[in-house]
Amino acid sequence: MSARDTERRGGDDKRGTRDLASVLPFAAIFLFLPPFVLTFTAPLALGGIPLIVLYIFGVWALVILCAAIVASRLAGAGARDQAFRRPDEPAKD
Amino acid sequence: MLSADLVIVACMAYVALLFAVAFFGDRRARRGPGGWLSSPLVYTLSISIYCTSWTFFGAVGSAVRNGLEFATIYIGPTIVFVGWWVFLRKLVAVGRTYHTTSVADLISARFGKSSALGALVTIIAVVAATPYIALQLKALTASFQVLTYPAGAVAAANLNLKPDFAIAFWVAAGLCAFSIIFGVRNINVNERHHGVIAAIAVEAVVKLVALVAVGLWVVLGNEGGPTAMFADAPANLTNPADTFGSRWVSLVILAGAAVICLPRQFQVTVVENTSERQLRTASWLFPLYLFLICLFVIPIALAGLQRLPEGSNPDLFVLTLPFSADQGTIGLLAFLGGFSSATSMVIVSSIALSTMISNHLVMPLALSLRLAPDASARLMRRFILTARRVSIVFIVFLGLLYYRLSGSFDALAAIGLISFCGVAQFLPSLVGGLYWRRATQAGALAGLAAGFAIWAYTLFLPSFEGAFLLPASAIADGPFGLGWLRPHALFGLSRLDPLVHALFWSMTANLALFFGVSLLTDPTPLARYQSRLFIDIFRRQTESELSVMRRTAKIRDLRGIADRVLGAGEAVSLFASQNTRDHAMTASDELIATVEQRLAANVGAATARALVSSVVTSETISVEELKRLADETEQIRAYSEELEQKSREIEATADELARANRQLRAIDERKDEFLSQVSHEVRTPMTSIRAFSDILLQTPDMPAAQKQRYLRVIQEESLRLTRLLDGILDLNQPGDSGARATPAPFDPELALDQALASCEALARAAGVGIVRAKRARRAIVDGDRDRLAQVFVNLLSNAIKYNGTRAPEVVIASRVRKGRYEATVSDNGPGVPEAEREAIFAKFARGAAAGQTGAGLGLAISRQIVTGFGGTLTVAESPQGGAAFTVSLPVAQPQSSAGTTD
Repeated sequence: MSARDTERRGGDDKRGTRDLASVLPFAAIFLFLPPFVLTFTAPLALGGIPLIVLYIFGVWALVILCAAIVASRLAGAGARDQAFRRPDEPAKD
Repeated sequence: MLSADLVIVACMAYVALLFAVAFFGDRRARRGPGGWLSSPLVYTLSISIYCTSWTFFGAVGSAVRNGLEFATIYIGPTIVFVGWWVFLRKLVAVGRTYHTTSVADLISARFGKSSALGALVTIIAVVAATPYIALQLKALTASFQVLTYPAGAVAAANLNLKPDFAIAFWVAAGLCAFSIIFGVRNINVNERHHGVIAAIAVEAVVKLVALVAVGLWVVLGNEGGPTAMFADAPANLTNPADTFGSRWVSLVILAGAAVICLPRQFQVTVVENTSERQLRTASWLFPLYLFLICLFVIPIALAGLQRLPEGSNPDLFVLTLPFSADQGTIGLLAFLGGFSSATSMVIVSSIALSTMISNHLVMPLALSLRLAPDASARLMRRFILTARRVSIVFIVFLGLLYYRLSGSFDALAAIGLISFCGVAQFLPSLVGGLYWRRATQAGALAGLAAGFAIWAYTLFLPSFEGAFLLPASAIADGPFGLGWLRPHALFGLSRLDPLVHALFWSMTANLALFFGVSLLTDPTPLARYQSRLFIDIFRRQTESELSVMRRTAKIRDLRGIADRVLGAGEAVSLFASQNTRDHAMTASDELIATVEQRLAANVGAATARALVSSVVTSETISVEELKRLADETEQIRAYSEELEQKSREIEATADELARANRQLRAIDERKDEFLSQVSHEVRTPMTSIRAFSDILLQTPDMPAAQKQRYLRVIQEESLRLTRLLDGILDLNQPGDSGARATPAPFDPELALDQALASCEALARAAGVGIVRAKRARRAIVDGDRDRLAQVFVNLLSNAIKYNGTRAPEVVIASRVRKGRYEATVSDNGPGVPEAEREAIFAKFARGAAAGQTGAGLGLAISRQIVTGFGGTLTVAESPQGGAAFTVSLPVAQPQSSAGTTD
């Protein structure tokens, strides 16, 4: 694979990660808020734990996992971008 | 029961540990930025200050009362943080880039550094924080009382003890002391408090460990597994359909807003942030922290319901559960966790709020009323620090007052939510300010004021239950019996939960006025400028944008302000790059901006601007330019313009290169020509030398006298050749033609004769008849004889060579006329067309007419020589129809001017 292909693929990856980062909060809103959450409010219990408790904490863990993946992929992309600081950005202390 | 002394000693030991951490944190920070202090982990832990005693004690209470609802308070921030890329990243970048000191500073700066807006935001923040601080004091007091109750903690929790305000007072005093010692010791450029942040990070770990320890103890000690645990669960946990109504949505929104807008959250998330890396890690680590904190809330709540006597205060389950099983150590750990969560919140809140009060309320007032001691830097700084310290005491004791006045039996979560709803009023201005260009200062003011007023009326004042301002009857039936004004059912909207009701009305009014008034008013020029900086934080600013604001001020005046507010030390470093002698000079735009920014860190953006404006002699913000630039297409146009300009510059450079290239080519060409011309020049004497030597060789019996004459000609010609080569060297030295030989007076006729003699052989070979006509007498000119002879040789040889007529003839005449010696060489050849008469003298130029193959340099050199003597060389039509070249030289001696002859 040529260097240019690698670069293009890297760009696509980055774009994809950023899109994922933008979509993630909306997915979380969809999953946590009614009406979707109401599908899991049936008075059921799995292994003694109510379904809704499992659902809320399960989705929560899943969202955190996604955020961690996004963050680590952005960190990889960010390392490549490090050289491109905005020229007019004041120096950081 | 634990003895009060033991609890106090434990608290003191813990506080001492925090002091040590804060102390080392500060010392580490002074040694230089970076290190573990600015690590993403410490940053995330400091954000965990979100989890106060409301979380530590209140979450369990909330789970007992309302089931899963407690989770909303942590789901909202989770959504905001995992969605950091959408909003938080921009907010943090703006705060970091423009050294924002507080939420009031950011909103005021965005809307044209408005001091009114800064003051309003500060007032709202202080009022909204009051219940929250009261909540912490209440939790601290209650936990202390329960822990030290003589009949045991379990009994105490069941009793609904009357709050002991003496304990509350001492707790408040202790918190003030810690905040003042570590938060307001000095004024930082960025309002970053490394020591406090380090201590907060430790506290974050302590409260997590404590809660998880209690949780693990509960879960591990539980027999029968989850089934048994959930057997007696409240209905809202096992049958939760009703949980997910408008209250659920409202709480998620409120919590999401609070994690951005709460002054202390803004402080730790935005103000203390040093890099995007920190935020990136916090985007998942902070939700994970919240997740872990919440994981054991339900088990603890269920265990409390099962194991503790009926009627126990669920807000204290975390504390009373261990004691009910005689687990004193875990109990004490739980107490310290709660202590930790409450103290860290109060400390950071009071520090953040004190900065806001001092920057946006005290300083603007003090400066406008001339109360601030602006005579000396030391006094000024002391004044600022005192204002902040007094503010801290004021804030904490305001919380204590609220605690005293409000109904003391409220659940912790209910009190906290009052605060959340209050600070949520900042959200429209904050989000609108970062995304909507049309948002104006008036819109933000109107929205905030309306939202704040409705919040106060529908939620804050009723929370006193009649003890403050709003009587109980008014809360129940509306003021003056006006039913439609009932605080919990405004305009008859009575079916909503009070919190949802307050959020709905306050946000409706806030948003409507924010958008409506913004659309009706125009932003000030400065607000437009700021909006460009804030909204386009991630876009490279074009040069035209950065130069929209122009200000002029004397460096001396700026220095004066900096000295007063910042102190001499910082001022010196700020002006270090400026020449001290230039202090009367005008400061650059950048210097003014830097000074303003540093001042803003101390006194807030609005005050800093007022201070700087007092010495700025002229300020222009081109509104038209800003309006133009605000357009999206206009941005693209500006870019393309910049690109065009760049490409124009490149084109110009390319043109220049092309021109240089052309020049080099021309010079190269001329060099070639020159070489050929030089050969030509050299050939003329060579030809005559060859001709004479040929004659000498072919006629060995030539008379001696003639032989002698020919040899002399050969010698003279070789000498002339040498001199000619010298002359060519001269010619190549620009501007000093003929200057090498020192001018001396001589008779030009001699030069003419010399030339005639050298051309004789040439003329004879070509069959050209040479006629010596009039001669000048007693003519003396200044110059070099050889060079003049060279000129004549040139003219003669040209006349001989380029004469194609059947009977070629060259006439030479000379005379002195009007003080000038004139010698004319005319022929009956083809002549020079009038159009070419000047061109043929051009250096390196060839004659254009057919057959003029070699001409050019000869005439050029000749003219150069003649001009060097102060004379002229011209060409005209000769009487015979050919060309007549005339050399005209000024005579050196005046007496010869009269000697016109023949």
